Amino acid sequence: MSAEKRNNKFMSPLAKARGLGSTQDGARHWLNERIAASLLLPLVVWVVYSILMLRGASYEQFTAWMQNPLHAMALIVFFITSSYHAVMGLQVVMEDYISCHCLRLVKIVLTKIVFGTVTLAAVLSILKVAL
Amino acid sequence: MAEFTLPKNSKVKEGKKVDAAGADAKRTKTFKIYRYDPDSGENPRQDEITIDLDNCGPMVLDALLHIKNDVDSTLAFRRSCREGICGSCAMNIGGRNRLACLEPIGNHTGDIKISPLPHMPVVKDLVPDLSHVYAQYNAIEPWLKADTPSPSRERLQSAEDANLLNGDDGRGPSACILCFCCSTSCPSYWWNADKFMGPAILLNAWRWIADSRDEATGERLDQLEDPFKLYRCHTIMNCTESCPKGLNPAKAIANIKKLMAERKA
Repeated sequence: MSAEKRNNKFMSPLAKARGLGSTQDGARHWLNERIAASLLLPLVVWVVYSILMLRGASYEQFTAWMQNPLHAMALIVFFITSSYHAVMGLQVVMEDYISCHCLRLVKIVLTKIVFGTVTLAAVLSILKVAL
Repeated sequence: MAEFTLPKNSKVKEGKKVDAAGADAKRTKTFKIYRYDPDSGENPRQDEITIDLDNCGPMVLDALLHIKNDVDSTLAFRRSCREGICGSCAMNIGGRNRLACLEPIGNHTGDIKISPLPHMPVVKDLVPDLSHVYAQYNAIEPWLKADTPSPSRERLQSAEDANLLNGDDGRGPSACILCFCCSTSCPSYWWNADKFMGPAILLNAWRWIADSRDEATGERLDQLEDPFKLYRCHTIMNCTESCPKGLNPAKAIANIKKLMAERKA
C-alpha cells in the first residue's frame, strides 16, 4: 500500500505523525559524513600544498611526482573521500528541498552515478600514470 | 520543491488603520497585526492599530488584551497564564517567535508587527493549528516506560541524573512548556514538518531518553533513527535562539545524535 494512495483527509493527526514509521537508517550516514569530513581536513591541505609545489612543473616532473606510491595513494583516497562526502551532502540537500518522492529518488541515484563515474575515471587516470 | 512564496490565497493584504490612541495621548504605539477569518473567504490582511501605551500594561500581551477589550473585539489569540508558563501566547513578534506575555513592548522601537507562529496552518488571526505538533508529541510517547514492577515508593534517581532533566539552572529539557516557538522557527521543520519531529518534540524525546528511570531508551532511539524524523536537524540553532525559556533544544538533539552514533560504534 502506497502512502500517497491513502486519503489522509480522514486520517487522525497521530496516524499522520507516525506515518510509515522509522526507517532505522540515518545514523550511519551522519557518522560516515563526519568521518569523511575529518579525513578530508588534512587531505585538502595536502592537495592544495601539492598543487602549489607543482606550479610550473613539466609533464615529466608531474608524472614522476605521481609515480611516488604515497602521492598516488593519497590522491586516490582524496578523490574517493571527497566524492563520497559530496554525494552524502548533496543527498541531504535534496532530501531537504525536493518534496516529490519520485523526483528526489531519481536525483539522488543520478548524483551517485555521476559522482561514482567521475571518481572511477579519476582513480583509473591516476593508476594509469602511476603504474 | 520547497515553496519560497506564499500561495495566492495566503498573500497578506493591507487591512484597516485604526487610531485608538486619542489626540492627547503621549505614548503611542502602532501594532501591525495579521488578521485572517476563514469564514469570510478573503485573503489575510494586516491591520494597523495605534494605541496609547498609558492605557495598558508593559507587555505585548497587555497591548493585545487592550486592543481586544477596547478597540476590536473580533481579534483572536490564545492566552492563559500571562506569566510565561503555559506557552499559549506564542506568536511572531517583530520577526521573532516570542511569548507575548514575556515580551516587553519597550524592547521594540517603531511599529510592532505581530503574526501567528510561522509555517503553521492558521485557524483564525493569531491562532495557529497545533494538532500536528501535538500528534508528534504523542508519537514519542512522553511518559515513563518501565517493565520493572512499580516499587512501593518513588522510583529513585540520583541528584546528578535528575540534573540531566532539570538542568543546574532549571533550564533542562523538562522545563519545556511546549509553546513551539522553536519548532516554528526551524527552516528544516518548515520544509519537512510532515516527517521531521522538530526541535520541541526532539527536546522532549531527549527528556525521556535521558531519564535514568526509563527502561525504553533503545526503543525510543529506534523510533527516532530516521533521515527525516531526526537527521533533518542541521544545527541551524534557530531553536535555541528563539526559546523564550532559555532552553537548548539544539544541544538535546546533538545528544540524541551522539547516542545514535555511540550505539553504532
